[in-house]
Amino acid sequence: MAKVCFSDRIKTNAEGFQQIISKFNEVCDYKESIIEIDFSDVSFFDANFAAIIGVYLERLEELGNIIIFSFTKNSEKVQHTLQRNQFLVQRGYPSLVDNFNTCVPYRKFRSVDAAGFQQYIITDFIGIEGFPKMTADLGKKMVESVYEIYVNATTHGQCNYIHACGQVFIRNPEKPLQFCIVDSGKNIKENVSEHFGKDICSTDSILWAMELGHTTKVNETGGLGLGLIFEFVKLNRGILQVVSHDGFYQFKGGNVTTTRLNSPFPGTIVNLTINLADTKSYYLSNGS
Amino acid sequence: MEVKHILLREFLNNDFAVSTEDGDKLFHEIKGYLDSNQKVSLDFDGIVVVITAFLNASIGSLYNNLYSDQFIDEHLLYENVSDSNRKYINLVIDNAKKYFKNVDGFDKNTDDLLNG
Repeated sequence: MAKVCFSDRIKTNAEGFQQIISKFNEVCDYKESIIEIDFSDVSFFDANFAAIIGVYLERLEELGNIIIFSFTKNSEKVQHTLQRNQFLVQRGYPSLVDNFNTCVPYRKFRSVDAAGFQQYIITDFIGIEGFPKMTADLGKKMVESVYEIYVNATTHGQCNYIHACGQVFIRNPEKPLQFCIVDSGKNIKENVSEHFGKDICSTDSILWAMELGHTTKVNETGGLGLGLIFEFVKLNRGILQVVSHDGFYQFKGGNVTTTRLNSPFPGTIVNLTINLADTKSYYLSNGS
Repeated sequence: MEVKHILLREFLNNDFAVSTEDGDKLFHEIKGYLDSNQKVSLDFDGIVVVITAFLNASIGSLYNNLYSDQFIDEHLLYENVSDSNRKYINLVIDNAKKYFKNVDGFDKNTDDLLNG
């Protein structure tokens, strides 16, 4: 038996990504064992991270492991959040009603299941009854951005599954939505290094991939999607975070920061934070 | 000259124009008409979401030295395109023209970026 033991507060920042990744990497090669995911000491957990855990559980279960979860009174809120967003429901826990309509449920899609992802976007993402109101412009731009990320993951990742999950923080006046799309396929560092025929570090690879018009596809155009998201996030004053291998990239408040994590993620994570209370127009002649 | 009309929503059987697979399918449809010197009109009526991945595969790929830019401009027409989608189409076309006119140079420039 092995244990993945998380501590305290796990938020959507470099430390949060690092904690999830490094803890799971300690057990990710175990076979036919019982793996306990221990949330006992966790008082806060950003629900969008369920998508990252989903990728690790996909691998651990492929290796014949049995997964169990443990929670205590201290981590009851975390457990309830993961029941409301359906993550734990898929593992035998009862469903809880999402009274505040703040969860974009956890889902796992076959990478070829474009129809399934579209249904998710229509019914579970923009179609949630009671979801915080947003302008039509913002909703359209948000859906386009999510699709660009999804198609990018299915095109470059060559993976079996895409995992997605989101959470809205309605008490925050800007009503931020955090939405995470994760794949366990070929990562950005591998794609960019292969494209240039030499080893390029993960952070340089992500920085290159974020530039408008850059693509690793051969004799095909591309690379516009992430650039457009970049412009959208900038105007929305949102946050774009990318983790690929051991590279962490963040665009926030007009600034790009990168850092190397102490443990590599076996795929790519894109996390988008969008302020739903934003009322500006995105389709004027401002280049957005 | 007869203009072939493609109502995207019907052609894709979907109001989301998002996948590269659908983009490839549309590319071959358009190419068939252009190869026989026919004009094509792409009708975006009823399309809810369009992303650049779809447009790269369907429209951007036409600029891969298959025809002159002028020929495409004269033979590929658009209907019911919103301002925002027009902006995406223009972005994809501009990028494709630059890329296919200088594929090796495009990659060399990006290689230089990585090497400072």
